[in-house]
Amino acid sequence: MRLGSKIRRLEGSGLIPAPRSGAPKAAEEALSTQRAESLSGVHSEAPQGLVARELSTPGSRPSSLSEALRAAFGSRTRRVNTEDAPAYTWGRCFESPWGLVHQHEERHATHQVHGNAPLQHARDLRPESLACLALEASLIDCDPAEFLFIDTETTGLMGGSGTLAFLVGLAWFEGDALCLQQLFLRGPEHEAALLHTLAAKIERASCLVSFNGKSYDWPLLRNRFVMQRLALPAAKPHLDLLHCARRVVAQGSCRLVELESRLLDFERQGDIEGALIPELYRAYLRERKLELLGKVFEHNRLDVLSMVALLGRLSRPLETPPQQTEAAERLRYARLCSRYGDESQALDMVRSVAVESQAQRAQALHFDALCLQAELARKGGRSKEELFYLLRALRLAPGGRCPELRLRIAKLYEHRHTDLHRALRHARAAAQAEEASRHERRIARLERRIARSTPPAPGPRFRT
Amino acid sequence: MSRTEAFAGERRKPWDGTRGLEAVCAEWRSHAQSAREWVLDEVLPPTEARYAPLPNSLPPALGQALVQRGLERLYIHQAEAYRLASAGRSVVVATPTASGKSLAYNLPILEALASDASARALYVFPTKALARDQEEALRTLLREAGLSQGAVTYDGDTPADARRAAREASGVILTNPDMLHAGILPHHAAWARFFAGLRYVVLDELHTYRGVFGSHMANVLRRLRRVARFHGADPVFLCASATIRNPRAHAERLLGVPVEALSESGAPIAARRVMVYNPPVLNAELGIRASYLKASVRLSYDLVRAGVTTLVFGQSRNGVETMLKYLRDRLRRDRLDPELVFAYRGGYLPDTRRRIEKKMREGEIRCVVSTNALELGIDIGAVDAVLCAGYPGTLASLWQRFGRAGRRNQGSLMLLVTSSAPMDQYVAAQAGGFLSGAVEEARVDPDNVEILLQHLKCASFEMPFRSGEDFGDLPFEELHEGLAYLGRQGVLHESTSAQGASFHWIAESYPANQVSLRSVGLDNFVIIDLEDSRTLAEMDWRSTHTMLHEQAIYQHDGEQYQVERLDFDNHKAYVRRVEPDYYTDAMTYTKVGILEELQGGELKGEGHPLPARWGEVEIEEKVVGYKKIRFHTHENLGYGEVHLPPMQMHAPAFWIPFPEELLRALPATRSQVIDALRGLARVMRTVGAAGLMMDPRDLGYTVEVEQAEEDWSQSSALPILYLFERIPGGVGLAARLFDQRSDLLRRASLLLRECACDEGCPACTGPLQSEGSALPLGPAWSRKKLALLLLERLGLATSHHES
Repeated sequence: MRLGSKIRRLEGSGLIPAPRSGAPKAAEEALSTQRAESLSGVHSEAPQGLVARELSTPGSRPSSLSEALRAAFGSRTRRVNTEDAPAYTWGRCFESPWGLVHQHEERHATHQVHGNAPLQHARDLRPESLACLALEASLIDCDPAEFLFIDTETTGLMGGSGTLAFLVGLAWFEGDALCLQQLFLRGPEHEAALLHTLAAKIERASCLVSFNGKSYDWPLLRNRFVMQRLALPAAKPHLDLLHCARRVVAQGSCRLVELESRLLDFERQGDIEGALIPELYRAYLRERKLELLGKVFEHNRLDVLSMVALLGRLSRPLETPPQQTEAAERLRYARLCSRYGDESQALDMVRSVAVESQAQRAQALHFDALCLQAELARKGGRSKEELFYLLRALRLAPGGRCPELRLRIAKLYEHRHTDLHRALRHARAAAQAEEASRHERRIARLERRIARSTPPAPGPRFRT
Repeated sequence: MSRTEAFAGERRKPWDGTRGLEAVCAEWRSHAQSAREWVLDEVLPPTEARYAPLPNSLPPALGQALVQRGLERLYIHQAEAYRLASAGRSVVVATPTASGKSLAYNLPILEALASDASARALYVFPTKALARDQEEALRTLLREAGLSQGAVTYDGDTPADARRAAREASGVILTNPDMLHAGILPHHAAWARFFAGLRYVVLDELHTYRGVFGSHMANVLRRLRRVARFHGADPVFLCASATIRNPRAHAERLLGVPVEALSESGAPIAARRVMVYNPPVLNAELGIRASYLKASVRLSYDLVRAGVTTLVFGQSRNGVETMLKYLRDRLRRDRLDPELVFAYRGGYLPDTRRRIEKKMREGEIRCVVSTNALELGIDIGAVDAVLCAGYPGTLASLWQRFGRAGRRNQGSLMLLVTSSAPMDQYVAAQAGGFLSGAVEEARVDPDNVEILLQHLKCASFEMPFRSGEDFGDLPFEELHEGLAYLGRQGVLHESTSAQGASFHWIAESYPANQVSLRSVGLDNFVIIDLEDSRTLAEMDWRSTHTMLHEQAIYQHDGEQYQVERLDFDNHKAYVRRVEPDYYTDAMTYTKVGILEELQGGELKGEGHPLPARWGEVEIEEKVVGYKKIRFHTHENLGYGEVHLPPMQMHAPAFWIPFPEELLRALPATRSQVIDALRGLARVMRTVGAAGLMMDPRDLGYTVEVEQAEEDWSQSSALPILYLFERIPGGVGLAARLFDQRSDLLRRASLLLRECACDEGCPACTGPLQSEGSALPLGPAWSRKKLALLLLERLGLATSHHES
């Protein structure tokens, strides 16, 4: 069939993309190495005899990410004389029956902080707090000391059988230390070795902790086990910190780096952008230079540490007396507790905010607290209490919120307390809170009911 | 399969009474002046049913379910399909419409599901609509057979939660090629349980997988078998095809495995009357006949008035809408309910189709007008008469449409009204010949380079290639070249381990998303209306340089637009509504160069022998300018310039280098001879494309000459006539043209003879003014006559009708 000759003919005529042949090809490879090196922050000087090439930036607007990178980073780079530079080392590599395993390990004392959060907070939290944070009652049986934190770097974001996890970052507690381990895939042919090591770790864990792992990392790893025809590790409970964070964090981005900055007070320096990671791995496969991935290793390492710290930080308001948590945050946690079913903790928290904010005359905060108290009362079926809080909230309400409060109050007066006059008074002021026809019907109904309940003016009294 | 039909009200038998089919036909034939227009009027005798008993191995519950439906026996082809499938042999059932093909593939699968709870089956239909139609029928069958495994359609519209349930639990999955390609195979790790149990794959409407689409599908099937093998399965393929000439070869080329073909149907067919109506010639010079649409309307109306349920097929949406309007106007004029006629448009849900079917049975609708949307298996019941307004392009299509006619034990009518298009006239010329004539072949080329490379990317994404591994029937030695190319592109990484070399996908893109199963080369261009930024239409990239160059007049839905800007890199053309008094006609310069000759031979007629070759060529088409031509009068109003890069491709071609002595002996100048050769090439393209079930635009023609010299003494370069595939890499047509070269020229000769024109016309040899050349014509010889003379000298001109 001569597929080869057809391909070469098509390449020759430029009908399918072809790498340029001869000297220009060498330039292109040098180009990608230089680009990769620039991205990875590695600079080196050309050994004798090799001329560093200057990259020309095309005049037209770059049409692809690669071209944009080339334009941004294309500059004469100096290459360090390789004799003097220390060889880049990271982790150690050893043989296993299934291939090479390349892993890097660190130990951190648990009292160490990441940003403002000590790592040990994650280990020491009560399972009850964990269950509440995750809205998952079964986590009560999990021991945080046996958690396995996990984060992957992959060759693509679309999933599917062709996406590899080339770096798996793991962390777990061992007594007074946090062990951090990174498993690196030296080449796709060694994947079985990596998965065996990983499976052993998962086996021993009480629960997996990840960031967006439920949707991304775990399904991907599961696929990799299938593709390597290895038995899947037994199913473990899975705590996804992204879902937890979304429930309790104020408005704004919930990206891990953002949360790290806002909640943990940790700012990364020179962190690599996620979109560039797959390309660096490809460059590594071509060039076999580990230093190209230096920033990726660092990024992954920080992600893992961040997760440990974040778990501690997110459970803090559930572990400490209410006063130690900032008021607005406390309200969000109160709502969480209520959702989980821990009404008493929810009530404690919100009451403490109400008291404080009243004392400090923090009107907006007080208003929010009262609204939440009303909500909790409604949930508990305590309508008198609900009414009480709503009326107090009404006094503090900003103009735009009044109609909805009044509507709620009107309904309570009408249906729970049969105080029709008050119901009507509030309903009249609640026109904006509902659709015109419904509002009219409500007013009409209240007026009718009032008219029926008023005794007719002259005339005999009837026994009702 | 019998239907439990409830015939509400009085049903007239079409064959008797003052109304009815027989009466209408008699009425038509009674007019002497139109006798010549009825080119064919024959009755095909009925065929008896041929039965076989229900197989013993059928589970009892299933056997009972069939008996309850009135099926105590199977047709022979259904029983044979069951036997072969149970023995693990792949089958293609290529029997006519309404012969019970669905049961042929459903039965073995029901048996497998009944005997093994982990057995799975995959059904692939060319369209979503077909899949959803079959889903219902299948679910009913499963229920009746007492089976608990479900059947779920898995396509773009399936909601997320249903998808997971489908993957993990459903016994049968119904899908379409695009979903299989981009949604299922790349995620096969999540389908492990399904693939592990995959026993059968059903491919319905197999004949639709031809040409470019078929070549892509062949590769999708290679990937499917590869994925199944990974999970430990080797499914049997059960295919159903319309009648084509080469069902077995076609299926084997698609699947890469041996396939048994069953073409003999055991289903009974009642008597059928076949008629062909050819409207009379109005203008011999231009070869124009009376409107076939109007004739179709007239004839359909006669049928409707006579109470005959009719299905009318049109060639285009416009044609359908036009006929609908005319029919309804007539009904109104005669004070009848215009709703008796209904137009069927694509995209109807199963509910709507059931309603139409019910109304047809009860007489509320007497006539349905449709495009080929109904040609596929979508069921709206059988009718008494089928009228094809215009020839659908292939006999296979024609028979498939005709196959709708005929209820059990009742005679029916199959009527073709031919238009003035060359293929139509060609069929009309053959008259009864086409009844026994061979239907067309379907061709694919799974090893088309560009298509193959796309699917190698997808396949390596699905799982790495290992050294020594074949890809379907493509051996590793060839495959390796493709993998090496992809390695050079940087999307595959080759590594070596104890098990040998392997090739892994390492790019971050998701390759299936970048492959369209219906094109090769570039993506479609989008045509955008500048007035409201709306997308008007899409166009195949190969037509853009002639249809969408700047200043071109583009026609859409009867309106004219002018192309203001063509953004080639972004595949967009920007147009604006205009009301010009002219249209544009691009002048294309085609150049063909031979890359490699693969086979050579001779054309042997009774006269002068003619060399013939086929092989790979390089094609370049460049639009050099355009003409402005006034509507109606066709006068040339001027020229315009076009600055576009040429369209280039490598593709297979069939060519004839004409021997000098043959051409010199003709009584005409060199330039006249070359002009005649061009005309002949055009005719050959028309008949060549038809015989291979292709769109004529997919086959190009040209006559290459070194110089345009006036007389022979000044040049020794011989003209070469090329028929080239206008698809990058081709789909296996040129080789076939070469194999059937003598027949090709004979059929060209027949079409030329039967064309109603005198000197040549757009329907046969092309417009009188040569395209792309300014050669003057001599007074004595017309292009057509010269071409016919040449064919005579070759001994290939026919003087009688042949099929």
